[in-house]
Amino acid sequence: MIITGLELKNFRNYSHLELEFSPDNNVVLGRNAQGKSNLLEAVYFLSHLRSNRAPRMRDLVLEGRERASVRGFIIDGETRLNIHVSFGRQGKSVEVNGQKEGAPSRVRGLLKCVMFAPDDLYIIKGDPARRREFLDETAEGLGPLAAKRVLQYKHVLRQRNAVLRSWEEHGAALASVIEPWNDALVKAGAAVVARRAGMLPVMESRVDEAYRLISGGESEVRVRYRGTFEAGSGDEGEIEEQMRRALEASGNEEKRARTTVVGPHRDDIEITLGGREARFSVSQGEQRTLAFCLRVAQGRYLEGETGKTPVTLLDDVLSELDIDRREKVLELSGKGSQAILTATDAPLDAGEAKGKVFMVQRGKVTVV
Amino acid sequence: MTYYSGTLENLIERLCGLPGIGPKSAQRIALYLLSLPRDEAVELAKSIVDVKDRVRFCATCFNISEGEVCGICSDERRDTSVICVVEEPRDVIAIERSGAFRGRYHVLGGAISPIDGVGPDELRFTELMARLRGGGVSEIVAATNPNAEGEATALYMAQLVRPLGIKVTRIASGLPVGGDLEYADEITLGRAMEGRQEL
Ligand SMILES: Nc1ncnc2c1ncn2[C@@H]1O[C@H](COP(=O)(O)OP(=O)(O)OP(=O)(O)O)[C@@H](O)[C@H]1O
Ligand SMILES: [Mg+2]
Ligand SMILES: [Zn+2]
Repeated sequence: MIITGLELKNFRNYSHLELEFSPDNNVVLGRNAQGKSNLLEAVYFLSHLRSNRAPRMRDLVLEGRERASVRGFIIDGETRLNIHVSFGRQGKSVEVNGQKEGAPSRVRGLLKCVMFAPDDLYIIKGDPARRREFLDETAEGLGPLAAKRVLQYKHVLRQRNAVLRSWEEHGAALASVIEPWNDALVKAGAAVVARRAGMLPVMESRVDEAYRLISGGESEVRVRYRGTFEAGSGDEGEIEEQMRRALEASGNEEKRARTTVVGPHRDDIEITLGGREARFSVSQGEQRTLAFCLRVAQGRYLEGETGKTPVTLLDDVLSELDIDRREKVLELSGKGSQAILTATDAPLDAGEAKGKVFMVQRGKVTVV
Repeated sequence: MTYYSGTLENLIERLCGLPGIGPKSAQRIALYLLSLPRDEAVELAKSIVDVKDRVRFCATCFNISEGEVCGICSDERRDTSVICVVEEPRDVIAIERSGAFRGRYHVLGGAISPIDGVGPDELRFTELMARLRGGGVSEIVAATNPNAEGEATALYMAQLVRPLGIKVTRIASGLPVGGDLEYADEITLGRAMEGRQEL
């Protein structure tokens, strides 16, 4: 899948931008704070309908303006898509090929991309929430239905936690007030767990493969699912059964914590390198490389599941690596896909690589 | 920023507070009202007051009603053994329009939603239970919305009513007629599959 063009209006530091991408490599050069990351963020935004870094949409609107818009021209096999998202004070509106989309969530994941960014490091060394975000983001890439399951789970969880927050109020009726939420929680929760449990073995072998290639070493990478209950065989019906049992057994603990303690919102993935826990016991360089390999695996997983090759976005990733790894990283990440990458100085023979080179200066882009 | 006189501004602000009306439509409606002949404007104002004065909730089912008891509850031809439980009066109107139900109703006044501070006590469950204990009811149809809150409300009600030995049913949810199978999401499709019937 490729993005052939991008149009921005009042997006971040771009008041107006029209750009045509190469179907191969696109190298975006520029000094600090010129708009390189903002450009990649816009592509990510078209894919996920949210930013990869700002939780609030209004941070994406050019300072002093009311509304922003992003338009992308996409070729997905035989299909051509023109996705237009405009947002601001009066809410969000989404059009696909000129038709207004009533449910914007259905547009999520139409454009598939994988974003490599410097703070991916925190997927490895950060707290479990960062790793769950990574898993949810991967599900989002699968398409609107998988994304919806995650949102449904979060919604029911919020409702159930609201009961638990002041559980004493309900007195003897507590059980009957909680019970109606259990069903929905377990159904949506099991769907999320099943997806994660199914995803990780595939990811593990991809990460391991990529890591060996980049490091040239023999250390084995393991990526294991750590749930709050035994998921069993991975069959969704069985997971539902297990989660329901675990939920029932957690009654006292959840009262003490005033929140639901069983379910995928407490999941983690344990990553080890050569038997050592990556979060606490491997070097910073190893962590960086592992984070990179997780992204490679994310892309390969999405490709395997959907049959579509995601667009690769590499934000400032090369600058962190030595020349040797740079070459391998470029080869791995861009393999067979369209890539858009940013750097402050020209990465190895950017000029010769098949594709286009852009120069960004204060929100203006020129083709070199 | 005031472009209009205080009186007009006041009307725009009030219209703006109505559901589904934004600042632009509020302005358009206000200017339209201003252009109306005086007696038409008075008629409109009067009908708003009339609604407030005359329309209230039915003492039995809590549907909107002009008298103590609503038209449906006082209609002798309707089946008293089946009660359809809905969230809002507008749901009664929707089901009546379908013509598919000939029993009576009970309007809960919303759905359970702890994050909004709405628990069972904020809804008309006590009144429902009093009605059921009065006897003569053999089935309750849970016609709450097919979202998380509506489902939880239906399940809560089922727990409550089951000990009375009354059957509780849930309206089927599934594919919209005239819709395309291919565009239905997996959850809707899953439901439709569960609720399949023999041809
Ligand atoms: N909503 C906004 N309105 C105007 N400017 C913004 C907005 N959001 C961010 N900026 C500015 O846009 C500029 C470019 O940001 P960006 O993150 O794209 O830089 P960059 O080119 O990736 O730099 P670096 O090499 O340091 O990562 C920054 O100066 C930032 O402050
Ligand atoms: Mg940057
Ligand atoms: Zn009535």
